[in-house]
Amino acid sequence: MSNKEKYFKYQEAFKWVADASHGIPKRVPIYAQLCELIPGEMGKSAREVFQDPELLNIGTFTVCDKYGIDVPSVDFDCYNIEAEAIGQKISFHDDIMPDIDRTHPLIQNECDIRKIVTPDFDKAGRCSFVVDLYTVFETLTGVKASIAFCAPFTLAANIRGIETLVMDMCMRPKFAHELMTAVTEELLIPWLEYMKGKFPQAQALVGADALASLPIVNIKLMNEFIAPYVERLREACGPKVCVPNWTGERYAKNPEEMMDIRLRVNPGFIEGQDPDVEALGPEFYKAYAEKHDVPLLLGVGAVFLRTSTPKEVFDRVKHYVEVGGKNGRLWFYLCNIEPGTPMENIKAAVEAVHTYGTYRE
Amino acid sequence: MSDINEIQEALIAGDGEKLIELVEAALKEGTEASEILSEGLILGMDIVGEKMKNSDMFIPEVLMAAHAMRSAVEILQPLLGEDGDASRGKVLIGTVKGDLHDIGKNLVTMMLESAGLEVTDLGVDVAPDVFLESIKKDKPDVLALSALLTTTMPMMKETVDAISESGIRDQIKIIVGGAPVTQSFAEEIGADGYAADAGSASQMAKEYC
Repeated sequence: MSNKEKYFKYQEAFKWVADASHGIPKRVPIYAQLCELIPGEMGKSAREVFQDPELLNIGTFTVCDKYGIDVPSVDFDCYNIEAEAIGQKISFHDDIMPDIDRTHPLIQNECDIRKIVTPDFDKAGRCSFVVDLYTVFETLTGVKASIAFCAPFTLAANIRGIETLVMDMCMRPKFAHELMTAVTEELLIPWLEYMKGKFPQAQALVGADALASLPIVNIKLMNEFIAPYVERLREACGPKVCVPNWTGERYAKNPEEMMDIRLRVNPGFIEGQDPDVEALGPEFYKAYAEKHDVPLLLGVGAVFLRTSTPKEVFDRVKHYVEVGGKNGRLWFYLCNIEPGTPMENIKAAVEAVHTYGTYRE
Repeated sequence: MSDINEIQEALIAGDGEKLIELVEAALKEGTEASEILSEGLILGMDIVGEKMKNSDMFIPEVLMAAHAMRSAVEILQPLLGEDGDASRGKVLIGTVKGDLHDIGKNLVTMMLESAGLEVTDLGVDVAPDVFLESIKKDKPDVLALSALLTTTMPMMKETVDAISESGIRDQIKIIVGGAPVTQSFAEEIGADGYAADAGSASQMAKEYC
């Protein structure tokens, strides 16, 4: 069997994803963020994995198959790509994913904003690696990819420093808006348009924005400095642009207020992940999703997966699937699986989804 | 004492300009710099820490309060003299070897400094022998270790072990934190405490100093 035929099998799980978006699928599909397991699984260094599109794809499929993950999503260090393209220093390592070199932020003062210019995406940083990554994915699976990018706030934080950016927003709001405008208009809109040109049928353009979460920011900053720039991206690049991974609603006095802001930047579905789901309960997320007539993505936490017993994992996932999967419209997610996570815990999570999330054989 | 209360309120609100005005006015009226520091600013930051722990304040508000505090301390510092040292104790902090993440560590550092603790930040990717050397030289009360990766958590144990083997373990309290770290891991490696967030780390360090 050729590689191409071998990986076409994932098309069925992608059909469950599509079915769950509006109704009851054959089974609740399971995603996982698993790229940190790939170097160990493939016997290669992280330095190699995160610069080799074929290795990263095959590694993703290998880990998915090993643990029974239905839906392969090609994860990579998507927080670094656009920053690297305009000259932010990135550190590459043998044993961990590449990361921003936070000791040398690109934007050290207000004049540095001029460094944010639209790069030549054919040549800049690892932009071509990202194009190749999705090209290989689509070729091997026959499925149109969802394109990942770094959303405006986390991108600005990565080139400015998170504490400095938050202080800019509090004390130098004019400059903070100029910075957010520059990363949005000069970098992200051109980059997303470039990617849309390469992948016109992409299912979604999914912004990663982990730093735009409570308690790192507050509701005021979300409303004033963060959400508007995602909305601008959606206006410029279309409704396929979304930013689903803001977290921390468990810290909010009124979690629904934060969910309402989240819905502005991700109107297509609701995402909840541990430890928020652990704190607020899957019932909160299901009720919110039903109220707004959207599907739900629930994620079980990385630390919980690593440190619990298989029974604890099974019981929690069972609860999430029973509550979240009532009447369908649920996708399930294993958050950033860490190296060292017991294999039996991942399998317990998968087994619980299969047992309680199968609607028809 | 009403001035002191106003100073606390301005600090908690992160209103640096008002805080400086109030501090200067209090000094003019004859309030001791040490009293302004301990009763107004440090107690004010204790309230900030408590509010953060209870999710009544988030990091932007804490950063603003810390910034205001630094501005006020700059005014008071020359007046404090040797006996009026702002420090409540010494903390050594760093991200362990192999780990380059610093956001969490920096937030903890900010909270510690705002709580009136003297902090030496060794940065990221810090080897056990570098921690050890710094402990011997500076004699901190607390060592705070950070890690974001499961792959670097074992380096926390190596650091704790290196300190134990050097015979100075009983001279320092060790607290650990970071996304993958848990209470049980802290106990397993022989740390004195686990802090789930910056506010808790600051609270714990103050108790140990």
